[in-house]
Amino acid sequence: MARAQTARPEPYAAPALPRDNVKRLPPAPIRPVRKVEIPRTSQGFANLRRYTEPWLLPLVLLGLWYLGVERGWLSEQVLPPPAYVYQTLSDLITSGDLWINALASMQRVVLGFALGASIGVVLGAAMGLSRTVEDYLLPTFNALVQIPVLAWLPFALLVFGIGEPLKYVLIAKAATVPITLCTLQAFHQAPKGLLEVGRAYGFSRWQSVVGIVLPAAVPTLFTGLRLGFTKAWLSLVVVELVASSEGLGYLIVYGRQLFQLDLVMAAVVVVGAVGLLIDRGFDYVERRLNRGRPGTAGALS
Amino acid sequence: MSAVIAVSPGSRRYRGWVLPIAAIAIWWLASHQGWSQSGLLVSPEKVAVTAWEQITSDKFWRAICASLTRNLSGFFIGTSLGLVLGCLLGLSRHFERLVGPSFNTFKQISLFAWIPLISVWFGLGDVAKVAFLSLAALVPVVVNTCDGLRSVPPNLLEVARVYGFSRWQTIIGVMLPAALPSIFTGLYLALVYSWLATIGAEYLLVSGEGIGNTLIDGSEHFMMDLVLFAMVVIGLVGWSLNALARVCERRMQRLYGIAPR
Amino acid sequence: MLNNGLTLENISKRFASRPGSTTQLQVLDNIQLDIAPGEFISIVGASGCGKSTLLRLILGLDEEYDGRILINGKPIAGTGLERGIVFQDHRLFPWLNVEQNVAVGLKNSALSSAEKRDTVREHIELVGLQDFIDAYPHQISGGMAQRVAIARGLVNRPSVLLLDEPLGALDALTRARLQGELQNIWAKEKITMILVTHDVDEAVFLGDRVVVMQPNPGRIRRILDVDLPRPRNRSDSRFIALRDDVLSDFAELH
Repeated sequence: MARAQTARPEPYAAPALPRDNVKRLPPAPIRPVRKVEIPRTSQGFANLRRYTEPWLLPLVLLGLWYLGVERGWLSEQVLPPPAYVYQTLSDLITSGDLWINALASMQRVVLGFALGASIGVVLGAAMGLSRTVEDYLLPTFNALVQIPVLAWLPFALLVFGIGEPLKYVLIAKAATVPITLCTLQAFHQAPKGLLEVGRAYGFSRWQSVVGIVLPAAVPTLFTGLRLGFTKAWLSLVVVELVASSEGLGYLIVYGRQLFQLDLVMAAVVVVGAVGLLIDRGFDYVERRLNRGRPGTAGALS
Repeated sequence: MSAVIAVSPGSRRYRGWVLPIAAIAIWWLASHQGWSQSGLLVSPEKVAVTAWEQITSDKFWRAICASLTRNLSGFFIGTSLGLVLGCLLGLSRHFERLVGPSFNTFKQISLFAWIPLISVWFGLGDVAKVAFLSLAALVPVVVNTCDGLRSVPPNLLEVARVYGFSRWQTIIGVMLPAALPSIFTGLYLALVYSWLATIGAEYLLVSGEGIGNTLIDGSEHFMMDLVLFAMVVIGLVGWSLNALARVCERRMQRLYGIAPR
Repeated sequence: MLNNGLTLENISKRFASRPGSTTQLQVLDNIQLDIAPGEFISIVGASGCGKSTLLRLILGLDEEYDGRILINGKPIAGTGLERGIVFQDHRLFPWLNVEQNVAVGLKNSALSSAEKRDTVREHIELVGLQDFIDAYPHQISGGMAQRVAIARGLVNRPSVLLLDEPLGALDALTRARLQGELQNIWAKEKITMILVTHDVDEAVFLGDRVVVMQPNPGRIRRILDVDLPRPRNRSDSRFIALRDDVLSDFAELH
């Protein structure tokens, strides 16, 4: 290979620039960053509005509800007055019935979820790590996933009877599906560039799984767990509606059978509140987990 | 990432059949060797015969039609309301402040917990079922529409300002197209949820006909063959709806030039 | 002359240092600049000197500042169609093809739809993309996307075109070619252009005047006349001398 000819540069001439075409402004002295306090006038009022506005709609609805029953637009049978519902709710709390039923529900959902999550993570990881396992398992898994929990219910009812195992199996099934799929996705999404770095430094297979694939999989895995818990909670209510003798879902059915709508509504409120708490909890954990990670969206737009 | 031994795509596809075929073989063996005395262990042939009987009967097709009609009417009512509510929430800060927190609390209530209340308010007939289905379809549409409209890239909104777009032009020309993929995700979820809710409604608001009722019939009469058949049908219908939504999504994306990579 | 161009009078701009905080950072301090019609101004400075902020103020995207910005002697109010912009990220709408994206610039013009179509075609030809009229942004290269953005910026015939580091994200070869094209377009359209860049070479290559800015707080350090014939030759010793002169400003700062 012939080397490229290097042109010998002309000796560099001093800037032959007429200096008078440059407008020099008086050099600005370097000043410290100026910090200015600005008064905030209508701040208080804006804050007040921000905190009161969200309550407006619930208050109006509550008012309509109250009026509707008071004026006899709707019979108490169809819509019990808010005071009743409140009364029932506080009775449930003071009598301890609420705790017994909520505990039964929580136990089911937590155990079922734990069972489902372990199965899901193991299945997902096995399919993610081995092509062979994936080839054998995934088509069957995908086919079974198409059948919703509710359609499994009669089948499981016939096989397991109406006892506790039925609930655990169905809740676990509901949780397993999203967790397996997300775990699998997490393994598939392993950053190729980083894996190549690992190979360049002679990582063993185990080292690259523990050191590269797993850390990168955490957010997706967590999404799967969260989705799984949501599904487990949804299925819990269904299962308890259909077959149980305690639990929050049972409270709803029981109230419905006795036509005590106040009990039904109180139980629905509790179900909503627990759902909200769980959601907030996951939100909090997710934010802690994602701290220090760059945002997934719009990093380079 | 795994060290793959070269496997031809053909033999890989064939691997997927191993497990189901083995399962059916064991099932067949179990039922014929009399491993279990339970009447629940029906043979695969019995299921096939039941399936054939069902498919050739009018009753089955009426049930499927009833379920699908319900599903689609609930889906359309729910998504229409959901689109309106989602757009309002996504476009108006004022409306969002008024309604947003209430809606976010409301959506935490587990869907099926509404059924007993709905059964009191709307009875057990089709009105109640469609109301429940609309509710199931509404929530994901609202959430995704609102999210999509909120996360329109501010860069593109600035372009609209530079070219003097009116509020209306900005909404039609920038915000809605930018939010479209997210809105579509909402519709897709709504379709999935509404099918799930159809089965739930038929299961929990027992009356009339529908594929869910076929399932319950089987369960109540301890007819495992009928139960298994209905399960497969429910799975197939869900899968078809899924596939349909996916095709529509592709089309839409191609139309808008956001082709999948 | 002054009342027929763009005038920046004592522009100052502060940002809250943190969202919700009451202490503020001075981003721009007392910027004064008169720009003649048809002039090509390059604004060059290190990152954080507020040059892009200044452009946003002129564009009217940000209206919270002290001082006055006058066009033809009249203060600006918000964005206006007489000021076009090319952003660093091309900001094309991904759901529109090249032709439709350029037509975005004419959305609110009084032209008939036939005139609109002709104008759009004309500008697509100006940037040499007539063969890619039906392509979508994800189907074309970064350099081509930036050309579409330039066509969009010009299509409504603004009197001022603002260029916010338009070539900053492109590779060196594409950038050099587009600099040449930009210079030709400017010569042909005879409109005022204000280019913000951190590339001194580009600033000297394109500008009639080069405004050097310095940070903390952002202000004009000096203004340099580039009195070289166009098109400019990068290996001309006078070009090199001017470029080194500007570069020496940055050497002093660090």
